[in-house]
Amino acid sequence: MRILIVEDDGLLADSLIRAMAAAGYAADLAGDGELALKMLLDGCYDLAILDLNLPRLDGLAVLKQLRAARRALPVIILTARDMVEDRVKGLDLGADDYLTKPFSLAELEARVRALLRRGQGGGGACIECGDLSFDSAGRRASLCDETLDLSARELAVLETLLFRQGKVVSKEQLIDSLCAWDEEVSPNAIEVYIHRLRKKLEPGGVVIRTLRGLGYLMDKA
Amino acid sequence: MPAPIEDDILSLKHQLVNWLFTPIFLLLLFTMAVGYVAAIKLSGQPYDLALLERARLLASQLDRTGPDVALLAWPEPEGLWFSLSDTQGKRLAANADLPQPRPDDLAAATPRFRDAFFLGRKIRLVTYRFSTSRYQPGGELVVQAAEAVEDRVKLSRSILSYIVVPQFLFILIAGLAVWLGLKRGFEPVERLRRTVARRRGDDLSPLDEEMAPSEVRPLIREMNRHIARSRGLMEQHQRFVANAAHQLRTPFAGLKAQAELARRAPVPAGTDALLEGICEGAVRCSHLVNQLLTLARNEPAPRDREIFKPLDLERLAQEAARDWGPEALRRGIDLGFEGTGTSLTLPGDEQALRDLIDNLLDNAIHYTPAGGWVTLRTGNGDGAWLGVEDNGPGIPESERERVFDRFYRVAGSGQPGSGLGLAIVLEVARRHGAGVELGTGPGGIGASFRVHFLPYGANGLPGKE
Repeated sequence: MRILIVEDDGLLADSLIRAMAAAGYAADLAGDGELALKMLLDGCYDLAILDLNLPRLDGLAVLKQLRAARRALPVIILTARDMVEDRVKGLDLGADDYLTKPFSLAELEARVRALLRRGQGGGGACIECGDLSFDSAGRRASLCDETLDLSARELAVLETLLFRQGKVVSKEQLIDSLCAWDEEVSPNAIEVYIHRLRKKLEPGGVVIRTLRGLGYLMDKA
Repeated sequence: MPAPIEDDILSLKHQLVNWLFTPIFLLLLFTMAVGYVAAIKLSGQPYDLALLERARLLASQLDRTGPDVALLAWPEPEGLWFSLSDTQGKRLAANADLPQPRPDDLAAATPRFRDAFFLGRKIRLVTYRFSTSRYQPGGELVVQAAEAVEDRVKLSRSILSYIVVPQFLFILIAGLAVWLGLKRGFEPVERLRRTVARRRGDDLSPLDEEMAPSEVRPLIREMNRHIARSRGLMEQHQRFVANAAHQLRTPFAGLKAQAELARRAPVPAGTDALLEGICEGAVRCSHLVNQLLTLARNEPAPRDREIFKPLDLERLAQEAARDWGPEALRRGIDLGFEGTGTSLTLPGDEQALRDLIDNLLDNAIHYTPAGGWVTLRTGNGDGAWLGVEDNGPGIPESERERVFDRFYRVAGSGQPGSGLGLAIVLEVARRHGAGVELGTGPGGIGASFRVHFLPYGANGLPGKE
C-alpha cells in the first residue's frame, strides 16, 4: 500500500511518514501542491493525505484537478481550517475524509485503515463492538461467535447503533432505520426493542446507554 | 481639545432664523418709520387745505365787513382759532392769543404751515397773506388760522395701523412658513439620525445616501468612506487573528504527533510520563488556539447582517448535546436534553451558536464531578432561550461577574481550561443580541447558565418583518 503525504510543515510531515511507515505502508512526501499533483497523477498511490494550506498550489486545487483527471484514490484532508463551510467544500470537491489539526495519530491511522479497506471492496461488511459482530451482507449478528436470535426490526436497530457505535443515536434516527416497514413505529416501540436488545447483549459485555432526551449509545461495557 | 462650539452656531435652524429674521425685523422697523412719516404727511394734507380754505374765507369776509365784525360773525368751533395782523405783525384782531407770526411767515407770498403749541395743545397753524380792497384799499394783511391736531393724529394713527398690522402679520406668517419649511426640510436628517441611533455598535454597513437631502449627501458620502476604512481595518485585524490561530495549529499538530510517536517506541522508565505531558501540553495549547480563533470569529463583525440566517435552535442544541454524549459518559456524567419539542427559529450564525452551546456544555461537563448530571434545556417565552444546568460545585456569587472575563479562571477549580470559554459564550450572545444569566441550578445546587434571545425579528436582524 502506497500513501502520498502532502504536507509542507516539516515536523508534522516527519511524524506522518514515521506513523505510516510504522503501520506498514510505503509513504512518500510532497512538500508543495504542484509536486503533489504531479506525483499523484504519475505515480500509483492507494491513498493521499492532503494538507490544504500548501505552497504553489492550494490543497483544494490539487484535489479538484485530481478528480478532474478521474483519479478515484481516497483522499484524507488535513487542515487547520475548521469552519463548517470549509469542511463541506472539501467534501464536495471529492475528499473522502476530513481531519482538523491537531488530530490524534491513532484517529488518522484508523481512518486510513477504513478507507483502504473500503477501497479493496469487501470492507465494512463486518462491524464489531467488543464480542459483538455484525455481518451486514448476511444480516446476521453474533455474540461471542454465537448467532443471536433477533427479529428483523431488532436487527435494524442493532445495525444502526453499531454503525454509529460510540456516538449518540436519536430515537428519530432509529425510527427512520425502521421506515422500510410501511407502518408507523412509535417511540415507545423503540424503547421496547432497546430493552430486548439490552437483555440479549448483556452477557457479551456490550451495553446500550440511554442519554436523557438525546437517544442511545452503544459501547463496550 | 478644540474649544466647544456654542449650540447656536451649530444649529442650522438658529442660524437661518438669525440671518433671516434679524434683517427682516430691521426692515420692518424701517418701513414702519417711513410709513409713520408718510401717514402724517398724507393725512395732514387735506386738513391743511381745509384750514387754508377757512383762512381764505375769513379773509374775504373780513374784506367785506371789517375785522371785528368778521371775527364776531365767525362761528367758533372748539379748537379753531384766528388772528389778524398787518404785514408788520401787529395784531389787529384775534379770537385767541395765538403765537405771533414769524417774520419769514409774514414775508412769504404763499401760505405757510407750521406746527406749534398753544394752550398746552399741539396745533397746526397757517399764515396767509392777502391783499384787501375795501378794508384797507391797496394794502395787505395777514390772517392766521390754527386748529388742534387731535383729528389729524387720529387719522394718521389709523393709516399707520393699516400699514403696520399687515406687516406684522406678514412677518408672523413668514416666520411660521419658514419654521414649517425648516422642520420639513430637516425631516430626512432627523430620519437619518434615528437610523444611526438605532444602529448596533458593531454595524459598519454604509448609510443610505438617498435618505439625506442633497445638501447633506456629501457629508454622508464622506462618512461612508470613513466607515468603510474602519471596516477594512477591523476586517484586517480579524483576518490577522484568524490566520495566526490557523498557522499555530500546524506546529501543534506536529508536536503532538511527534510526542505520540515517541510514546510508542520503547522508552526508558519515566520518559513515558514526560511524553504524555508533552502530548497533553500540545493538546491544551491547540485547544487554547482554537478558543482564540473562535473568540476572534465572534468579535463584533461588520458583516453580521449578511451572515445571519434563520436557524433552528432546538435542533442545534440537540445535535450539540448528542455530540457531547460520549465525552459525558466517559466522565461518568448523566447528560440530558430537555427541549420544547418544536423548532425554535431565530436568525443567527450557526457556527457561532454551536460554539456557544459547546462551550457551555464543555464547562458544565468539566466542572461537574463524576456521578453528577448536566442538563441542556431550551424554551420559548418572550423569545427563545437556552440553558445549561448542572449539580456541580456551582459558581460563588462573588465570581459570577468575573467568570465571563477573558482568561479568568475560578480559583481552586483544579481544571485545565483556556479561560476563554465563557468569554466566547458572552461574545456570541452579544452578537445575537442575547443576554446571559448565571445563577444556581434547581434547589440552589450547581450552576445554571441561561441565554435569552430576543423575540424573532425584534433585534434589528433579518426576521420576518
